[in-house]
Amino acid sequence: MISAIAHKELKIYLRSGVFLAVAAALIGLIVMSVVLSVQRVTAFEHERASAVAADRTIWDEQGVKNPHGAAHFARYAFRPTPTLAAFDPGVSDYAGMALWMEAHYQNPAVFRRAEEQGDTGWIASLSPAWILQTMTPLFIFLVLFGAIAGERESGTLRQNAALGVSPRALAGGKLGGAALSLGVVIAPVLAGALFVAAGAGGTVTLEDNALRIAGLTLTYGVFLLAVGAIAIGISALCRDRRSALIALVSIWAVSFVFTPRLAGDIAASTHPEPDAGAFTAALQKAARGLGADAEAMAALPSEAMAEYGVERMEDLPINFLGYRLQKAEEYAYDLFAEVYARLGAVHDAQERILSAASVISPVIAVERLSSGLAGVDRLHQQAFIDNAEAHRRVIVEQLNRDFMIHGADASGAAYTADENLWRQIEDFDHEALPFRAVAGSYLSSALLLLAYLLGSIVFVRWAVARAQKRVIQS
Amino acid sequence: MKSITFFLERRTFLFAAPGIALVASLFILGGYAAYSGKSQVARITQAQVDYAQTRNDALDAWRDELVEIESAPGASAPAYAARPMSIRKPAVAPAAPLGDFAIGASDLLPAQTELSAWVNPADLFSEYEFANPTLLSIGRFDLSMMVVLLLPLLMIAASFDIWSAERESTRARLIAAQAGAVKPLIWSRLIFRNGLIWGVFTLVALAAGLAAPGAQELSSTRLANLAGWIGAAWIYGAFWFALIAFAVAYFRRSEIIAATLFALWASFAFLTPAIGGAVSEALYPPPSRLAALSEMRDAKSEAGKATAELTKGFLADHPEMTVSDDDVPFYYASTWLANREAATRTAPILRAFEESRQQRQETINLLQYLSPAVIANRALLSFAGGDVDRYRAYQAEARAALADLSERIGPAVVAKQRLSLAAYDAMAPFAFTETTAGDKARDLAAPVAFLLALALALGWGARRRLGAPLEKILL
Amino acid sequence: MLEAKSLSKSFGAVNALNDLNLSVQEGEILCLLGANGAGKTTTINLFLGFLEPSAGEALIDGVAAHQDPAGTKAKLGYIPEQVALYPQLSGLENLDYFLRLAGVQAKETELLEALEAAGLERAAAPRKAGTYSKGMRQKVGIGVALAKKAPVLLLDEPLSGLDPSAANDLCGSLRQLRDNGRAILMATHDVFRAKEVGTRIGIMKGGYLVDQLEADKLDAREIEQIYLSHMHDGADAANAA
Repeated sequence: MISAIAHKELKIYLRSGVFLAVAAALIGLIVMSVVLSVQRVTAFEHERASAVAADRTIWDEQGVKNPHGAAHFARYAFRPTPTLAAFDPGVSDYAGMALWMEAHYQNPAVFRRAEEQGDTGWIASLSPAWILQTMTPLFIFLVLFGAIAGERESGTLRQNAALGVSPRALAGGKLGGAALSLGVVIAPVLAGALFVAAGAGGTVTLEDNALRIAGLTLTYGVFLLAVGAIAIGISALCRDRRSALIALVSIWAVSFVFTPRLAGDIAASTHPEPDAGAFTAALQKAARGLGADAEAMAALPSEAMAEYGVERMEDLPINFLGYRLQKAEEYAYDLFAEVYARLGAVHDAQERILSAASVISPVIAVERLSSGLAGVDRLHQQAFIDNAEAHRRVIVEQLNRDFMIHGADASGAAYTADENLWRQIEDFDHEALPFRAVAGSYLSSALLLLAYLLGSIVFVRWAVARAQKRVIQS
Repeated sequence: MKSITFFLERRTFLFAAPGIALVASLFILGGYAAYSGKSQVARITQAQVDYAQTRNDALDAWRDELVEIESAPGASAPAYAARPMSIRKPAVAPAAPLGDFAIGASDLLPAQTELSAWVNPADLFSEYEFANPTLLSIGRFDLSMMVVLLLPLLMIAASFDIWSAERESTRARLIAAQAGAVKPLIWSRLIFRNGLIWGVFTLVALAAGLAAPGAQELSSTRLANLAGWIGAAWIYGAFWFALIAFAVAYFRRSEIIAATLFALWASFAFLTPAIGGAVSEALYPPPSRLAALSEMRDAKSEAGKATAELTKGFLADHPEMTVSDDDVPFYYASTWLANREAATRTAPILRAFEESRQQRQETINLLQYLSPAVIANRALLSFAGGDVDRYRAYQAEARAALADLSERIGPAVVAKQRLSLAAYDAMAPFAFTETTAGDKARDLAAPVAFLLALALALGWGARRRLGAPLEKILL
Repeated sequence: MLEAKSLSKSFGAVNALNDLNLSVQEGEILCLLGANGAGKTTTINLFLGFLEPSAGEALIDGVAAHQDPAGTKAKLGYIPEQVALYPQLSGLENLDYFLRLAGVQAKETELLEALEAAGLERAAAPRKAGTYSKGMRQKVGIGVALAKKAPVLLLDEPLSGLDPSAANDLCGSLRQLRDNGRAILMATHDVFRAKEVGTRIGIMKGGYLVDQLEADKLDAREIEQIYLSHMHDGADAANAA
């Protein structure tokens, strides 16, 4: 019986002008967004490759100078853009894409593409993920609003009930038919979008791309199925097509458009970002760390002598200035970590509010899963920042040690190094997080989405049974 | 007709669930948006006051040193005391006069910096990117966003079936059999429902506008911008009113009217900006900041090599380790000259970058004519002062102020001297020049007039249709 | 009171009504019988001014309906097949609203009297119309015509879907209205009810008025025979033309 109903539904959808128009719009939008996104990501990567090369050249050609001077001349770490960002750009436009790896200072990631997006950037930005998260549910609602309400209006729901069609069979058939007809449209474009995005030439492919693509497919499959079930359930609760349409569009507006923004606003108000001026002051204080700690400064010479087993400073086999600079660097590690941990705690608290809001707005959970799977959420951004910080420490230590060891005979900062040393400094190479390592962070969102699917299936069955009961009694 | 409409609407809408829900949601959401905007502005203002205060205190101390030195000309002063290179002036763009009405670019672009001759104009704005990117990517909830996205939706929900529901229920026939014409009834009901939405929202906006946030005073600038903001919002509302009336007049079935209007809303509010943004980015890519960065680094590196010859590249970073008190004036002079050289070399790159950005923006601005929501968004952000242009203007002014500071202290620094107290006092503190509401209105005149023309054309079309013989709109 | 003079209406190539000539005087009920698409509702729509005639005139008290819509509507009471009311308003409030649309301000007592005269129980008047049966809604419709003091009543299939008791009540009301001097034009499918309330019976087919019968000169079975013979005779329309 279910297959008969599903088959009938499929036939009706394929003959429906609204369905065909929606399908064409959906395919057109996704194809367009894939083409533009792939082009965009390819351009970003090209830009990054040029910047990395330029940084290398500028670094190598900085001339003769003290190695610690070179540590201040510094290098940039540029964030690679994973290919899946062509599918879901996540937060990548709003997070800094370059990090200045300078001595004594842990800089924030800078250069956010969103700053170039103008005044409309906040409204929406086109990507296959955005189409699937926001527009596709609206399209599904526009196709399915009459699923049961229409049958009720035309009297066929009563007829079905008279023929002994059970609510389970009707709900299953309706959902099956909708899933089949919408699946015929969405599945190929989703697969195509992921395939094209994953294979975009000249960009960075994540090592565990296959796992991530499977996760994305599953996420969107579960999400859109739940959306379809909700649409049919709401349609069953409404007396006519008109009220079903209004109810569904209202749900869409509240759940998909306004709740995420409202939740974001509440999160930002409840846990305000530290002021940039105050935060920079905290970073500068961390940078002054050792210099401001008179006791630690005073203890440095004896520590150095003990470390190198000498009793007089002039017997030190190293340049003490270089030693002091490296110690200052190490002293600041924890201070910077503490300052950034405070910021991270604020951001975590903000995102906990978003997670709570995802109970009424499942699209928040989908956004989180999708951007995480695409490797472009805050967690992956943090991994870039952490890797860059680790690389900064390596570079600065390498330079300071050269100063300490090879500048031992020179007085003060008179020691200089040249291109030979600069060439030994490696380029920043960011390895994105393997998804397995961070999968636990997304568990709550995945479970919520799954609960939504199960809940929506129970809901659609209940709503259809209620609708049948009503028409029988009327 | 008005009293009949009120008689009906009072019972079927105003004091019924839909009307109560509508008015309540407008008050609650509008009130929240206003409160949230005010809190944000108060927070920013307080942070800026603290920021400026810290720097001004340091400047006062610096000036006291200068006063002391000038009052005892023969006495020897500490090497670092009251050196012009130590001047660090705060340059702050205060919250816009109506900043609580739109967050806009305020959470993305910097609004404070420190003017110091140590800093290259290209690097004047740094270390402000601390906001949570997840929240930035979601967007915020403010009064301007309510106008652009929420109000049209409420208007559609409240009035899409004003006539089709009568027709579908056959009440329309009964109505037409009593009234001579149905046109005044349809118009008056449309005006009642949408007037209610806009009346309530305008009340909320006026209350929010007249209660200036934090320590701000209710200035004439705020009032002028408020008037502009409300005017722009009403014109946008007029467009939606006319579009709804047009759909009500031309389409027969409620679900078709609703689906058409919702689809148009989604297209104007989301699809057009999204597609327009993506296509324009593909056709007119923004200038590459990474490329500009590389060019600037190259230029600065070349400029820095001159000082590196003298200091082996270490002096600028750790003067306390290398510069003796006697060398301080020389050190400052060489640093100033090196910085000026770097500024000179990077200026064309910065200028080219800004020009490229400006040209792109002008091209993209044409896209606003594809979506009334984009026009409204631009106009509302502009009056509220959350637009990107305001922040870019601030950046340009701050860079100009930095150049001015550098030029004013340059002769003294190069001559290895201090500034005179009179010369220092002649330097005005940085003050950002807000664009006047009149200038904003002039700038927005063309797109807003276009929106108004669109509204009038649609309204004319609806009026014409509703004035057609009954058989066209009744049967 | 109500007169059609060579009245025709076409929708594109379709002639919905052809050269209709009829009149209904005070104290008369003309029942139009005919199959779906015969032109009954088109005739009523033309008298209501909802349609503009392609030729001829639909006159209410000597005035063409489409030329003075407001003036002619003041004289008309109209009861459609489904009297749709605002479910959120009571029967009394619905009546008040529709009267206000017609430019009539009535006191509550007058409204109640009108509803009572239309056959609605007094206790039902303040109840929400959403709870009304079809018959009760029809009574509110008649109440509008009564309170308006409309001399002409147009009824479009008012009996369809009514249970026998409600139909009987309605027929009683109509007879009473006729006796009070109203001119009534009613479209119906029900031959027996037409015979019961009608003064005259017009038979329509394919947009033509093919026959007019005096109701009191024939019994219901004879009227039905004539009606059926018209329906089965394809040449009738051509002959009538």
